[in-house]
Amino acid sequence: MRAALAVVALVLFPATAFAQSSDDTRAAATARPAVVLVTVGWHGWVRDTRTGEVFGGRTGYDVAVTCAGTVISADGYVATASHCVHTGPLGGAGALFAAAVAELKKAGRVGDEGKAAAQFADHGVAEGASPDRPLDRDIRVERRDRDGRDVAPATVVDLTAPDAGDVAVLKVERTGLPTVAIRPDAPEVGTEVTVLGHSSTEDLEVDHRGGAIAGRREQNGKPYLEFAGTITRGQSGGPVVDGTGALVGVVGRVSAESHTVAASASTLADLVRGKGIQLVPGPGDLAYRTGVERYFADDYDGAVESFDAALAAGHPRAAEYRESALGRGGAATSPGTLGLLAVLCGCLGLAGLAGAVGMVVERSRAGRKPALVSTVDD
Amino acid sequence: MTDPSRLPGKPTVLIVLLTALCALAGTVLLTAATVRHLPRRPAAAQEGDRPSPTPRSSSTREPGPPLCVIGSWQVAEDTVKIKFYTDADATTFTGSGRLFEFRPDGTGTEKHDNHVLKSTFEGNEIRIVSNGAQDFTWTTKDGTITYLTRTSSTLVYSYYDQRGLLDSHPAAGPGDLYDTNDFTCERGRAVESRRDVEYRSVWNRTTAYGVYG
Repeated sequence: MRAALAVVALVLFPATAFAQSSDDTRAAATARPAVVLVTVGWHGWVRDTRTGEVFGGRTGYDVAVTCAGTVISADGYVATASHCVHTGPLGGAGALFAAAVAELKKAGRVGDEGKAAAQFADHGVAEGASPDRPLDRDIRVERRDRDGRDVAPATVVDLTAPDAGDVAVLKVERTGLPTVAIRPDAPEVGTEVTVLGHSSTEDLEVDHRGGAIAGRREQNGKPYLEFAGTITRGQSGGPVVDGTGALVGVVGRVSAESHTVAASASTLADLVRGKGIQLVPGPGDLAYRTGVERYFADDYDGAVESFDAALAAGHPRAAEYRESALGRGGAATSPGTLGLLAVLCGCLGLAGLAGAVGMVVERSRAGRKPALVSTVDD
Repeated sequence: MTDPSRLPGKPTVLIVLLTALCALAGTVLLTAATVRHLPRRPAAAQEGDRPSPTPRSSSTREPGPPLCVIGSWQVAEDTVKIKFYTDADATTFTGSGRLFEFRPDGTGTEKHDNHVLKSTFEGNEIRIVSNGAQDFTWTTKDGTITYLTRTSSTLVYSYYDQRGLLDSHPAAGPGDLYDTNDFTCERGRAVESRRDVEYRSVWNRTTAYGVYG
């Protein structure tokens, strides 16, 4: 019967992170709760500095860019790729340049799109409603919490140039967020890693892909990691984690050799240093990570216990993984059963008390009656 | 009447009492355990501490000239009615090859390099040959283009018929134009026209100016 229940549970929860049991799945399970969606809305105009021509019409261009991000501090600090939030040609200005090129193409004014974009990078500026105003940037960090979808406005704490480090730290006014640990040392070539990002921005579903560090490189004095394969659109800015789920890199761009290039976590560690950002995991993180460890050690009872502790500490994503552990046969101490036992004990105790009191009263009465009978008989 | 021999003894009462107390103690412990296992709300900040995104305030900018007009153009086909002889009706001339450049600051240039307009009159070919350039200012509105002023000109027109060169003179100098034509532009092709002089000019975009990449 228990086996049958387990089968039912697996059918009910087939899409959870623990559907498979491999190293990258474990790493992904550890890091997944900290992965967020970063949406950046850019608004502005493009001006060719050579001719003075302004593109964008009366209302300007509105371009939305989506990236992934990773919560590195429970106090609302999020790491992502700099090119997602940078205002320069490799960031927001580049997004507006692309919008201008698309509009010019419709007017028959573009030969080669790549060359056109390069010309704008060299001679164009992206600006606000006047040449002395910067373009508008609206950053939002979205994540799934226990109440559904949480959307928070974000600000940029600090960033490196997209071509010199490509990491940024954002701040959202949230607390108690699940985090990942940052691994400050660079992993060796060949180290197995997992890349996480959003397969869908609609339901914020996070997917992952395993791989291995194929090489290390430097650009403008900043270290980068390379691994084989390309990234999907929703993975840019997302975490590259090692087998323990610790952050080793931030997904950047695809190189000319079709390798994915990730900024090294050491660049991120340098960026947050001295800013008072607490990178210590919270009790929810620790309990959740223990739960994942226990789960992959086939200790489903222990996993459920740890996930319960994570939930009690406010971890927003432990519930679904707890269900997965239950589906694999983990047992939980049911509050319903305990409650029933408490009620039964309470009733038994009250009945016993009443019985005991009744007995005492009856004994008292019985003790007085013989004296009265004796008087009458006399 | 109660039979004292059937009353419970003191040990029995004590046992019942102890059992009841134990049960009550168990109740307390189980209740505590139940409360501990009840799912708790996340220790997140209160709603008032969780700011949500606010809509961006709108900003606008006075738009420049239409994107499509800006650039360089070469006339593929000119058709226009011109009064060539003072004592004869206007005849229809055709030609091609004029070059235009429309700039985003509202200025423009028209270039003629041995540009020829041809027609026939009483079986003879008549021609207007032009050379030089003129600069102008322009604007567009609701499907029309208006040439506002001529700011400079080096254009010279020469008139030929079967007898040879009849006359040659420069175009007018700087001054107001306020010459409005219908104008349509789509991708690499533009058409300028004006009904009262049966003027129609078809232009093709060139890469000399205003094209990226």
